[in-house]
Amino acid sequence: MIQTNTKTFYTLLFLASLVFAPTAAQAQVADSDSIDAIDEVVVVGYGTQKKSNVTGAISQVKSKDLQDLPLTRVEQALQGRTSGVQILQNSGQPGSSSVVRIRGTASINGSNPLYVVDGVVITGGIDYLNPNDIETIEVLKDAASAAIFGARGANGVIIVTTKSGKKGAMKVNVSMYRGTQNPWKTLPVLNATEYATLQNEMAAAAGQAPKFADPRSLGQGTDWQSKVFNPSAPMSNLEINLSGSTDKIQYYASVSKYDQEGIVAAGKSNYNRLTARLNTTIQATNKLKIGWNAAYTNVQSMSVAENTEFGSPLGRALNIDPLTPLYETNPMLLSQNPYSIAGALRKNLMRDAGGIYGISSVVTSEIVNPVAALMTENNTGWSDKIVNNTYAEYEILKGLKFKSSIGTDLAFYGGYGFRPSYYLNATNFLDTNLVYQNFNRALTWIWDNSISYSTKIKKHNIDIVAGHSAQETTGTFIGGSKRDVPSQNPDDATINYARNTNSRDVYGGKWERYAIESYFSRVNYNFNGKYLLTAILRADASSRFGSNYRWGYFPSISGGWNMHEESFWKSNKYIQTLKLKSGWGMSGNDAAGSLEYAATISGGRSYTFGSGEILTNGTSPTQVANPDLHWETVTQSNFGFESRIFKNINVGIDIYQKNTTGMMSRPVLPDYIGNDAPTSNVGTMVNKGIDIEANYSKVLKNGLAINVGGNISFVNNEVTLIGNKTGFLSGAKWGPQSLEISRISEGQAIGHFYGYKTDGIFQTLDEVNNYKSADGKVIQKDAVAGDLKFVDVNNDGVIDEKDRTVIGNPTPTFVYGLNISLKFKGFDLLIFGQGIEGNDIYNATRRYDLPNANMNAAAIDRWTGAGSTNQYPRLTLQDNNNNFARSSDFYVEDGSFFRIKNFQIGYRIPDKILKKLNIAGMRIYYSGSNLLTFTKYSGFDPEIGNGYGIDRGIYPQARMNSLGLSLNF
Amino acid sequence: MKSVKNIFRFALLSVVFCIPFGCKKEFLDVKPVARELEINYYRNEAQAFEALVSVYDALQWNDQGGFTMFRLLLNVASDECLAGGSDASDQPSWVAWDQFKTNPSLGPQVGFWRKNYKGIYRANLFLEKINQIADASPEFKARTSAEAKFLRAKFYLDLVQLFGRVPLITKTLNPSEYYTIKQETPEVVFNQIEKDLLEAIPDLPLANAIPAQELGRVTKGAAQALLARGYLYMNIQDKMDDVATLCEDIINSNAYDLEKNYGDIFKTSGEFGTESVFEIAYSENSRSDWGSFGSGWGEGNVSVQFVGMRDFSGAKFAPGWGFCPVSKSLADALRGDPRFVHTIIEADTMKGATYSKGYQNTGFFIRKYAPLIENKSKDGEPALNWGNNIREIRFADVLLMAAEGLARSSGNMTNAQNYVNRVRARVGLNPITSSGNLLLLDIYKERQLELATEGHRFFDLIRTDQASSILGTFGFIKGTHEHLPIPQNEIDASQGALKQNNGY
Repeated sequence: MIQTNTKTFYTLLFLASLVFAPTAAQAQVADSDSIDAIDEVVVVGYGTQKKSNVTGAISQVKSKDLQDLPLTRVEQALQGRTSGVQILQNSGQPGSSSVVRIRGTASINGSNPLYVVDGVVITGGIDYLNPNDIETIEVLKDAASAAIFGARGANGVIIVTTKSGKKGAMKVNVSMYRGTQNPWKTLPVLNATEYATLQNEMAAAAGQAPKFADPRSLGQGTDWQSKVFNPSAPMSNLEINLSGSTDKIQYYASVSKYDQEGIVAAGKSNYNRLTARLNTTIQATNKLKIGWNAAYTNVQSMSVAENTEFGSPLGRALNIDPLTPLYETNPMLLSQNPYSIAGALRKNLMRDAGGIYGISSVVTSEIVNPVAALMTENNTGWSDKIVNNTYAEYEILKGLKFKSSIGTDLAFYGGYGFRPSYYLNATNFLDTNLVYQNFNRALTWIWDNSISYSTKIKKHNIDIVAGHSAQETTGTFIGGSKRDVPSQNPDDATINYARNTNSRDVYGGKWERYAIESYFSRVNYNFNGKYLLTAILRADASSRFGSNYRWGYFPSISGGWNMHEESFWKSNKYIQTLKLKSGWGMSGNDAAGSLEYAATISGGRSYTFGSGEILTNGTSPTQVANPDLHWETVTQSNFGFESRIFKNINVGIDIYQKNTTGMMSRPVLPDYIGNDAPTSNVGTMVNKGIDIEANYSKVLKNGLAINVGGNISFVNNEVTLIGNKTGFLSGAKWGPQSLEISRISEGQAIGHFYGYKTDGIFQTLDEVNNYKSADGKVIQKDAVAGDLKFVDVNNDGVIDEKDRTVIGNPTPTFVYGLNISLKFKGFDLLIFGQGIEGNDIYNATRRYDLPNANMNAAAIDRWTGAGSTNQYPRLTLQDNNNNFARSSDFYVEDGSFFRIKNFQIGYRIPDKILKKLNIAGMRIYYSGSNLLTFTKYSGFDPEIGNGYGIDRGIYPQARMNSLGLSLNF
Repeated sequence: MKSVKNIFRFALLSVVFCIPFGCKKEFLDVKPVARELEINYYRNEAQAFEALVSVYDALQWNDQGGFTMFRLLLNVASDECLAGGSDASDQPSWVAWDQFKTNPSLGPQVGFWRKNYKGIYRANLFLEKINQIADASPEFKARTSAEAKFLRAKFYLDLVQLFGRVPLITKTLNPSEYYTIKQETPEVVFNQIEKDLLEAIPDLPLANAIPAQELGRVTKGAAQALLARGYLYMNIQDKMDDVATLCEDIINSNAYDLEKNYGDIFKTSGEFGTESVFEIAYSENSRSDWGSFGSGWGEGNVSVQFVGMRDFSGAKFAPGWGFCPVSKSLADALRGDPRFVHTIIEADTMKGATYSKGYQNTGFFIRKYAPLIENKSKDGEPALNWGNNIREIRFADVLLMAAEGLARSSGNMTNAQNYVNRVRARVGLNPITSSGNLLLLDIYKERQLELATEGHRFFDLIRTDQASSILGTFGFIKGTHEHLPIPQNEIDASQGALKQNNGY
């Protein structure tokens, strides 16, 4: 790592470029117009580069690949389309974001890539971006490319360029689609008869009397999933854009309206977005170009709890018993507890036109009637975001340009909600209603100034850019709540409605500033398009770094060799082009929080004095200071080649190794020290992998155009050093008992599942008694036939915490994508699939701590006697062996899947028909999403981006069918 | 040549254009918002008092390392209560202590250890900073220092009783000292406790001399009572006359009396009442929720939620989680005693009410800290925001300690009997007339019934050597289960500085 305390190092770079000048002085001037104009161009950050000259690992997705796909977010546009990028949608909730990992997870802290849209680093949400406004997306995967973004490039960089007007007359495009969404899978759970039968069996096994006299009389019971899912949920998109160019002005203007309702919880889960954009470029003089890209986005959305064991609509639907009716109509029951007290109905029972919602008499805690609970949830989020980029570029001399650009990202966002007073069960009730609201404003501005020079001296092609960048983020927030407003209607309830100030609560403040200052430079050199060289140096100072390490330096160098340009290369029918490339570089991750390096005094260490239960504020230092805190460094080497073979096949393969050092963590100190350790740069991590992309493209003589593309990415992640004595960090916890189910451990991939290994089921008591340690002790004394056999990992003759070990891994071995596109005459067909392989999912959807909670129908095949099964243990109310209460591989399943993400058939109406209508082009199409999913996973959906592969009741992806129309004028 | 010149120009322009844009150094400096840097803090009385409050704060923590309510768990460890909850897997560490199956990785030890050492750190920090504050008055310094010393003594007394040999740390540690720490014998630790309390007593105000808004702050009587408790629980035979002296000083200070009605002690109105010598205060107003659970931020008392009847539906009581079901043996012992109804809820005989029978259900629940509908917090997560104060030292306890001190130091037997009888008379029980060893047995019996489910029984059994006989059936092994194991993660993190307790 290069660290100096001054800017001297940077100054050296400028001196170096001065030295470079006289060397080149002997060269002769060459005609710079000979650059191949039709060669593809790649955006590389602070400039562009010809694709054939790129030496880093950069993938590109173009607008034509995305045309008419029902995408809501930019991440979806990348999903499965490029190698080295793993994208999983967090869930199927409308508007849900995705987990994006470029070449593996590079840090235990933040591992999200940096988004740069038209030169503006987007610090807030990226969902403001309308995917149809995107011209290209570049993914900078290796450090040789990402070093230009320095201290924030470690997780890779996603550069988005929005559309601009093309030369020629104005074009108008109108496109729209409408579709319906449905859940693609419901889970088999026990019906009322099965439930009662198994409950009786559980009671009997514990020596208790059966609870249900005649299970068969109970029939099917309530199908809760059908009450919670919202079939045929609509979605629609309408979009109009105008683009074109006059002599001096290029323009692109668009508006879009997107509305989606969720497939869960009708009316409580939806996403509505309005976007407007104007991109203009003005050639003010021969030398001066002025540009302005402005986007406004409004989002209104509602969401319900998901992927939590503490009460989400789907989690409740799976766990509540099938005996409880949706509505309780039996007057006898309604006159009793819990519906009535002392003969009078409770006043806060949930009810609507259908009657009074049923309350379970057997399942408790958060597992309440899911439909009744939805009535109490009214959470609306909104945002207004304006992202603007204004720039001027002046050509001082031919090839020598100065560019100044100011970008702003201004976001207003907030939420409001209302909880009516309710009674759902004995532990879930609210006596007085609650209304709440919050309002936030965030502003990021970024000012870049750069000089670039592009020239060709004989066969030497040189592109140089150097510049300075400053960025600042500030924000303010305010919010409040009020109890006991005189309305139970979410639409009426506001904080002010109450006209009194009792229990009115307010909070507010401003963020601590976040500022970054940077210098950057890059030299691209190539000799006759044959020998390629790129060198980058970036210096970053971040307000998040400790005072001892304010400046960080991030160099990279990479080279390439276009072998097919050599004179010795003989034209052959096998290999048309071949480029070898190799690079090395450093980039950083400034994942620290504000003032995390300092010891600050925090309040809230209060105590209660006096008889009125009044809190008196106390303060104490939150941590020890660490002025040495600095960025995490990712050092990455990349080797690869790109080739065109058999004329129609493009192949690219990259092999890389990413070493993360200085990974931030809080070392665990002994508690007797009495205060927390500061965040320190103590950990290391390694990601190694191979990215492969291939594409076949051909137009047959009969006019059939075939395009088949695929990519596959292997990555191996290993945490090599945690930096505390125990060698691990506790990971995810589950349930009220905070069961530890995952860990980050040295020598393992990040976030591996953690618990007991099982070795089948004891079929007989003899097997229990014969399961002995080396010294003859019976290992599971408390077990009986039908219980899980746990592996005594440490061979000490007992099963205890020390036997817990790695029981699964949420990190896939590889991820892949497949894209098939066919065009024939006016018809077109598109199939796009994506998959991940080799990952595990921890299925934590059942509340085992509530023995009366309903179960997956897999329980029907439980152990019932010797030889019945070796998979599912016996059921009992007295689980002395902790068959279910232990985290074990019983809960771990294969999470691999392959999914047909999109399937599209379109037809382009012949021009001769359209001509009469004054229409330039018209396409109608059918589009289907998530039509097929191949997986062994038994839960709702194997695509679980959020939560490290732990399924606590995921909101599944919708299967969507839609019809669309696209018109050009 | 033109290109070459341009490269030169490029370089020059880079310097000319870009360097001037360089920001001022202050651009990268962040000013703290709504918080302060430690280096700028501890400058005046107000800030010093906030630091003192943070020491008090640690007293009320129940959430360090899971649910670790000190007095409630001591009930579970004793013969008074079982663990309870929904089933055996609800709170495994509670079940483990109940059945004396704790091991270095299982049990409530992490919470107790962490809470007390964090409190000690804050007390040490306060005692280091207070003398550097120039404009604090001598009176302020004396009283607040005495409070910090009391609190440090309280933390160490809990530690030494729970763990035996513990590190004795009386200043904030530098990184170079982190792993040089050694465990000290209980005697050495207690010497520090005694020293802190003896230094604190003269500088503390009497309970009847502090204004209402200061209720809950440490008083002279509290410090004397804690010292007396320390002598008793450390079983220092030649300090028994000091126990009597300290307690009689409290009795004669006229700052305390017994509540007239036993049942009023644990009512909200009984908080900081005349019988209260020291309380650990909780509030229903901190609006804490699950998000902050574990951080020590909440100021509510989750003990109350724990002991409530599971899924209870009926009058008066709010539902709880069914922990600490009262043992049949305690119910039997109290049967016929006027204190029974104020100590135990008989759930199965309540009319018009239902509840779920949880793990180890006996049908008996703790009444003294039971969740009452009227006390339910209106803000935050109700389970975490009960305001019930823990009655850490009651005047009745002081009377019984005085009697025991006299009885064990051959003091005035009549006075000893009178103190016990004062406690009995309040609930209309006949006076005792025993003396000698029989008097001592009567005192112990009175402690069991008077202080039942208040978390004193476990240490009483140990110090009176009854633990093996009474707790043996639960798994108690003499020589091991007097103490909890040192937390395994602490032994690991200490890099060998700590040794495990005997038997674990």
